[in-house]
Amino acid sequence: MAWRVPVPLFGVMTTLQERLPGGAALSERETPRRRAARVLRPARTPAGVAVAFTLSAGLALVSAEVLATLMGGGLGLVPVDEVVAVAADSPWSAPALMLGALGVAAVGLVLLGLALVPGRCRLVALETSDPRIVMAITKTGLRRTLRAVAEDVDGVRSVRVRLRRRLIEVTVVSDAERTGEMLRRTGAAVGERLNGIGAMCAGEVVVRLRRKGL
Amino acid sequence: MRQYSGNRIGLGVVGAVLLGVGGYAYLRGAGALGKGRNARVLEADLTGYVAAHPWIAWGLALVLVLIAMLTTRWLFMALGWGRLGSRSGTGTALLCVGLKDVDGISRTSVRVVGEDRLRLAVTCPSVADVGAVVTKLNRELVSRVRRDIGDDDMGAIVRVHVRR
Repeated sequence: MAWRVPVPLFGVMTTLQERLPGGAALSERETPRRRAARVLRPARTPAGVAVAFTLSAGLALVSAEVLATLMGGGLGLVPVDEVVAVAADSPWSAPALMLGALGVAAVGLVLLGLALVPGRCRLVALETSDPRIVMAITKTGLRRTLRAVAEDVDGVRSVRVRLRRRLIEVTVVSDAERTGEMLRRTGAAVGERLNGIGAMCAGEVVVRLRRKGL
Repeated sequence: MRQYSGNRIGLGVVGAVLLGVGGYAYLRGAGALGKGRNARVLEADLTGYVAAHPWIAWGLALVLVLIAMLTTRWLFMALGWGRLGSRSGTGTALLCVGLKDVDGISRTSVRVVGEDRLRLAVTCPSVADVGAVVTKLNRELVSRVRRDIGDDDMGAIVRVHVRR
């Protein structure tokens, strides 16, 4: 059994714009949702640290080796001479070279993808009355507060909340005899909390009854 | 107000270079570029030319050192150097006083990043009325903190979390 509660979480943009102090100045592109998404999008820190560390270490070693070789010594850290000798011996059509080139191109494509794709944010943006304030709640935090508010409804034994792309799924476990009213009240409570915090996640709340009569 | 985009720029540049180099090497090996696919990767003429002109190797070494310095700076920035800001005790105290009506508020922090941005963090218990906390932050507290430790034009990023 499921009960759908359409919650106009952020459906009416003009309402928010009217409330903003500089609402009239907001352009079509500069909506609060876009502004929040721009600030909150993933910074690609793990990938950035990994690539920057690899490049820093690799380039530092190679440049030290090249400088030492030019000054008549040689550190023996990077086999520059061997690499030059192999490159001087190998044709462009060598299968190992072509395979390696494909691998390098694939890695480059992945890095370009990481740079260009906005990525999924781990925070849910909240409405604010000032365009210079960006407020967000963690997805875990949103799940917990929705779960707490749903568990306060009479007849609800336990609740599981899942945040999907355009849907908030609230699965209720109850042993109540009559569940229709309870599901409606659960949906209303969850919707009220979502509106209260001003979560900018468009969609609807679906309340499902998972188990009954135990 | 924008997210730190240094990682994306760095990843984009490195990705484009790798894609270009890998793509060129593959197409050259496949003979799609109209040049000899059986030619050596490092031709003897080129090796001889570089050996006859040592400044080229010095120039290459200099370029390598410069790129290594640039990537080291990127590494420090990616690790948060200059982006984490400094903790503001006054701001944190203001935030705690403003939220004193809410039981169980924890891990409040206010950090000043650069001259034009604040980062605030608040953790509430799951039983708290998070809506009321958010409303209070939005309408009153963030502006007050901003006014008292910086100026009204500062941008502010507020992260709200709910613990068990």
